Amino acid sequence: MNRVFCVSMIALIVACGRSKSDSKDLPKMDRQATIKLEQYIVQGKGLYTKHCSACHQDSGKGLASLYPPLKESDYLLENLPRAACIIRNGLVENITVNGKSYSQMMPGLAQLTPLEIAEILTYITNSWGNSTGISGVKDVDRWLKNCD
Amino acid sequence: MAGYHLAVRNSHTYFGDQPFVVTAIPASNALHAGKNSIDRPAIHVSDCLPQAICDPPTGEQMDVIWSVADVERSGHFIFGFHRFSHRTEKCCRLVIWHARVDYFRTAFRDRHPIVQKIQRQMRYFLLIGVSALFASCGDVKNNHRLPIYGHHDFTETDTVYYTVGDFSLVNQDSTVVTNKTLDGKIYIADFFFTSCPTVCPKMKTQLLRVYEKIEGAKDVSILSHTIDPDYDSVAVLKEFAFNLGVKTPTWHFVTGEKDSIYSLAETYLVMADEDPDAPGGYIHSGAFLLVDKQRRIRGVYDGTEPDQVNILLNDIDLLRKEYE
Repeated sequence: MNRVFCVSMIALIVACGRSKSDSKDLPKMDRQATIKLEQYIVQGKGLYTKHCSACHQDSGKGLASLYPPLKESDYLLENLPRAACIIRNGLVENITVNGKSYSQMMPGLAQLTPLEIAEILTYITNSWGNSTGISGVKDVDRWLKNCD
Repeated sequence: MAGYHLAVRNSHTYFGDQPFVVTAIPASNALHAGKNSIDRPAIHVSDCLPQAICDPPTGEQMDVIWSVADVERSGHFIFGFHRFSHRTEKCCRLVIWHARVDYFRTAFRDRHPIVQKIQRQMRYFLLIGVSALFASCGDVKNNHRLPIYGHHDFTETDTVYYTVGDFSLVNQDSTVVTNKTLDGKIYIADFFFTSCPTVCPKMKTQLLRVYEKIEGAKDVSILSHTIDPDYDSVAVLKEFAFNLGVKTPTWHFVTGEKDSIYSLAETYLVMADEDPDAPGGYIHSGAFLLVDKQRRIRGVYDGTEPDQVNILLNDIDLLRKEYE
């Protein structure tokens, strides 16, 4: 009986603690932003699995010297507009990622909408240790209009 | 009338992983009867999900040009047929199917319907039991002889097994690779192209696992055929192999005449062809073929599925044991 009481008290405290911190630490706007980020990531993960993971792998680590990593990739994270354009248009030139050279051609995904590209970009820049935050559809749309 | 109830597991390119059920009826009862009733069944499509993308449509009878003989023993079933392409209006494209027998029934039409029903239900229970057994073993079997795929001819004294075709190709080191080069070796064959945006990277990721297992071995090789020799020159293949981390000549990346590679693929019972509608411009099977020292096909695996490649890794050892 004592044990049951103990367990339920702990459960109560944990539950209270969680709901308190949720409502206290995050103002309403931040909560909405978090939900939006989560939505982007969930959608982006599905699209990533379908279009990208064959080469860049589910782990984001790439494959040998053929396909570069996205996980902690300086090339990806230092220039998000460039990354959005590469997702749409592909890439044929040699690039250097984290000091290593990669030359394999990447096919573009011209059929994707700006929103889908934004979701993929948000997923890959907020997974495997990357934490850049959201790349919103409005920004991505603007970036895509200014591709080289 | 005996029939095979098959679940098509790998229908290569055309249907992806869509669930698809066909019934194979031995040719003695079918329109397109061949000489060997076991070897040349007619395939009857009995069910296909989802209906909207059924191809061929439900109920259509197809002319099966070959299939494996020992379907009951091996649990695997490969067959090919010529398909009229409605999209390109071109006849005929060879379509290769790889199926696994999930459940096959024998003739019991003469028995009472109730007996039949009970038998049918018992069979399902048996199926569930067997499935559970396999599931618990992780689908990797250690104590069986691998099947021999393809059409067998029978002479009065001997069985003549199906073997893959002759070839003469050039690898990433500009060395000519022929059947002679692979004499005394078992090998794993696949068909790919370096600029392929779809299944090939998955296949190469998995084949790299095979390479890591056999690296340095003298009795096993890998033979990756490009189906895009126009682009995949020796230099391109060399760079591709290097970037993949392949350092030993255990793994040949070979190129040659386009048509000869396509017809060679057919002798491996898989398909490779140009298709302007496909991503990357080519259409090909994602299969890995395990070939023994007599050039007989002993296993077919979906090269995009890690689980299937686990079975391949196990089967390589099984096949090696046959030669010990």
